[in-house]
Amino acid sequence: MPSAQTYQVIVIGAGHAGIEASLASARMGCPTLLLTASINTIGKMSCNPAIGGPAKSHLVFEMDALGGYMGWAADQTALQLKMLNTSKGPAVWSLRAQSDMYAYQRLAQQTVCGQANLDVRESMVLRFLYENEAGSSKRVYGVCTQDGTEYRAQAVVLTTGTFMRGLLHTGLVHTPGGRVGEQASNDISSALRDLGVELGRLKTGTPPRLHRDSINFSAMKLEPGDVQPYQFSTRTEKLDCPNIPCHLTYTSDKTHQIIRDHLHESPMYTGKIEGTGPRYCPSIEDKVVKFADKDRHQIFIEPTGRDHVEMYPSGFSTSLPAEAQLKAMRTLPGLEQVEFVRPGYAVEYDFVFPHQLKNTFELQRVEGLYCAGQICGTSGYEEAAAQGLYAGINAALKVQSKPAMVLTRDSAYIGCMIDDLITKEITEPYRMFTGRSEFRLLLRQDNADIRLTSYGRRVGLVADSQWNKFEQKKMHMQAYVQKLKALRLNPDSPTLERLHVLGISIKKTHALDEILKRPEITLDRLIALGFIDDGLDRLTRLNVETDIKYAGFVARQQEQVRDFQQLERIPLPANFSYLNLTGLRKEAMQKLEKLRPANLGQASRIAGVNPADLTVLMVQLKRR
Amino acid sequence: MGTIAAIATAPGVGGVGIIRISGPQALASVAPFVSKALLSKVKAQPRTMLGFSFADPHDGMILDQGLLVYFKAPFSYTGEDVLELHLHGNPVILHSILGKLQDTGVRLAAPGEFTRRAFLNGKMDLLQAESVQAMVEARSAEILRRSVRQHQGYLSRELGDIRSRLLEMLARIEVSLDYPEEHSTDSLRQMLLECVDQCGAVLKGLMAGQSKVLHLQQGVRAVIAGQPNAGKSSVFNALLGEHRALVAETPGTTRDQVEADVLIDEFRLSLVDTAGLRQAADVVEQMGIEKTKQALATASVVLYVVDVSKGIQDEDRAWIQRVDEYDIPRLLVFNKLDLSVSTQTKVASEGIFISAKTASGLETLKSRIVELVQKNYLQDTGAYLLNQRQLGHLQASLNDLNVLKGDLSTGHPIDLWTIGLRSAVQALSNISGENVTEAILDSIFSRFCVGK
Repeated sequence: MPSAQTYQVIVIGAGHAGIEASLASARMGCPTLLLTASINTIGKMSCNPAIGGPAKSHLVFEMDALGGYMGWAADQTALQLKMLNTSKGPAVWSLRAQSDMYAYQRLAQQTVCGQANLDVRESMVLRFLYENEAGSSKRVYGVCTQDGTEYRAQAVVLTTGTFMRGLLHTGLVHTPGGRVGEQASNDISSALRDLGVELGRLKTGTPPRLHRDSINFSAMKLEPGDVQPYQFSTRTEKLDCPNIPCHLTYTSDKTHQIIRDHLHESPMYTGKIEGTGPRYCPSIEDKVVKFADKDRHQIFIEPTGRDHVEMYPSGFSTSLPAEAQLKAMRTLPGLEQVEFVRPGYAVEYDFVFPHQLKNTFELQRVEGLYCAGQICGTSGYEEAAAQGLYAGINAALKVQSKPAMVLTRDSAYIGCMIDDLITKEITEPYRMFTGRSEFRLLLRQDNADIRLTSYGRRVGLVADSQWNKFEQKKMHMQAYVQKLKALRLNPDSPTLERLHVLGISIKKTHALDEILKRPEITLDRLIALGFIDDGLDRLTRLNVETDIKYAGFVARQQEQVRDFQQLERIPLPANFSYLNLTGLRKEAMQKLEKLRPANLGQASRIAGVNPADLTVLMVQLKRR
Repeated sequence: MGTIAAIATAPGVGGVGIIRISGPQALASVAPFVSKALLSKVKAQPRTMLGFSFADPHDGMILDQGLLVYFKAPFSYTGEDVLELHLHGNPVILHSILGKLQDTGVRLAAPGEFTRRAFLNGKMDLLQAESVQAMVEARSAEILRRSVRQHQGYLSRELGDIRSRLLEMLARIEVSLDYPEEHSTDSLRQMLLECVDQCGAVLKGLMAGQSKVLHLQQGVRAVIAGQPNAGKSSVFNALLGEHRALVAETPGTTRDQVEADVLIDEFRLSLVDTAGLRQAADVVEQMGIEKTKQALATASVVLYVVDVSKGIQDEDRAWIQRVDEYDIPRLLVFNKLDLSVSTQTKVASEGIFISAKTASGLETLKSRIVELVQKNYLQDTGAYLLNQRQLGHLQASLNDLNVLKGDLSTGHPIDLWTIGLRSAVQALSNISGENVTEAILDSIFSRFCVGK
């Protein structure tokens, strides 16, 4: 075996998960191989041309703090950036980028192919190289590709997205494929089954793509981005964002009638698709059927590139026959003459039930094999990328014999997602929501770097430049907070006059941070009226402001975190046998045996395990 | 864990009374009171009934004779060393022996503590433990049946209703946060305020009914109070029936309250005789009076006994006022009708006139007690039977809603409302053991049309 074919980490698949996994592994110093069906499609945005939005932006900020790739790339290729939810509370502020998907793809390709320590090969994996371990466990030590080449590595990260036994549906016509025009992989499914990995089936859909020149934009509402946009990455030096607008239009009764008339040709409604689709990203057919009382649905027409004819009608995911799609689409204002570049379709694919993963994303029963991304039953670029980064880091750490990096629910959205995936039984594609995090006031975009940069630094993914910048920022932040506490306002008439502008008054001397706690006061207002300088960048100011202004709420959440941690701290031994445990109900017994939680906290989140079962577990643990 | 002891048989007089001792010091705790020969025999023969005498080590006086049986850990009810003393079923004997055991370092068991230990030692699961609790408490089942059972099943519906209303609000907020383009937040504050008010009121109602149910659950306690020498003990004896009268009667010396079950018509209630209420002359008596005050606070009904020959005095008025402040239903019982009666009292006062000595007026007293219990505890209060755990979560949820009301009035942005709201839903969900996050998502997707 030539030595060139031996690596430390192999990543299979070069979508958003594969990019993060392979870059992380290579940047952490592990000779890494990235296997992809096609180098040209590295970093392709298969669905909507956007990154971020509620909860997803939190994932991107967190990845950036850990030393991930996506945030920086999204900044570089943004057509417009918009901060959503700014009036709804600091924890749910969410940055969303409309992306130039072609530029994104090119940049990803350049980055991956130019990365030191990382080899990229075009090849389809046929099977895994593995040996049997004690019990029914296996250990993977490499892969064999369709051309018969063997690549060896101590860790393999599988990030094949929707390509495992992918089946594309347009109307009642279905063709095998992972993405339109791209070959599916059937071998990996059977290779995984050989390893004893349990697979399920899911579906997702994508809307048709519209030709820009056939659209009458003047009939639609203009939706531009922010004039002074925020950025995802602390590493972005200069933002060059053209602020290209989206457009908003609506469906009508006429649209809905056409869809109803063609339901019998929908693969979903005729039972051709067995996989479960996501509730939160329903097809237009679903919306019309399930929400019959809604007389219109909004459709955003999004650009896909800086100067590209393809437009993406967000909200119009469908798998109806192409003619029906077109007929329905032409009922929308501004789309009367629309032409398709490509009709919409649904894709059905195999996924790995993620409860089989450890909290490092290594399979419990297959040592050395990690899974990440859509293959784990999730949906969305950001979810995929975050898992890829997490699995890539842990694969590299394992190879380097270093302790794993585990993110928990109380430390990051990523941790919340990881925990959800390994404790829930996935029945539909999993998407991140802010509501999934019970501690979201503590897990904000604006403090993602404070929370996670040190993790990234410890594993060796945060470069000196990022780290120094971070240290400096922290110093400035502390100094600013000190200043807010030190600046005192006396109730003299000039001060009272200035405060009057803010609509407040004081009777005795107050520190500025006390004033900031009042609901009607914002830090920006205090700066605008010259009470304090603007010393920090906007997002850091938000961080400072939130910690002071909502200190009471923050304290309540920290209290909840402490409660939460009590159960998290009680580990359940990996070899703990739940069968025949006195007092445990049968359902709980089976679920625990199947999901094998790492601690009592995880056990408590398993559906079917109730408080009484937990008490039994606690007692049994004490007796051991 | 320390060693605990309690009288295992029902309060009151019976043929046999059992004291159960559990813990590592179970055997050692009786060592000072029994012969060495017996002790070694007991050790050698667990699970065997042996005759024994319980003697005071100071003067060798035998307090009682009976049988004892030893269960060696882990083969016992609690899973610990357990010793059961089967004695004569006289409360005076049992309490005095229990007192002696306490002098050796044994602690009085808290309610349900034996079962709790059994559970903690893996001898039974939570459901079993709860059913033991239920069986133990079934002594007041006659009373419970009428007002409570009919409501079971309705409770989960009522709680479920509040929970789903709060969940819907949470879902409305969450959906506006996760789909900002599609869902506005206008009017949410007002909706939420109304929802919090209404749900809070329902929870408050549930909690309020609960104190009544607790009286039923734990048994209706009729506490006899009054000044020394008013004849409380004789009223106690008269209600128990003369064949059960076995209570020490020296005035002013009743240190501990004496408690017994009594059946009046079909109602079983605990009758509690207390120390006399007066400015205590010494410390011991003062302690007795403190206990009486506690008994009053937990009473279901109070029978306030007045010596009819003396009439109502200032001290009596003060005590009656105190009972009324506790909002406890009470009866005024004028005793010693057999003695000289001031007609003035008889005319001026509402109350029942009896002679415990001659049993005159006793039937009237009984029917008035039943009336009082029925009126205050058995009328349909809409209350439910909740255990302490459920009650705790209910209270927590109510507290959260109150805090949330404050949050809503301070002009904080919408996301911050979810902290209190979520916490309130979580507390309610703990009662049924449901997962909140999943429930929110379910609620979002069944109600709102969202998606890209």
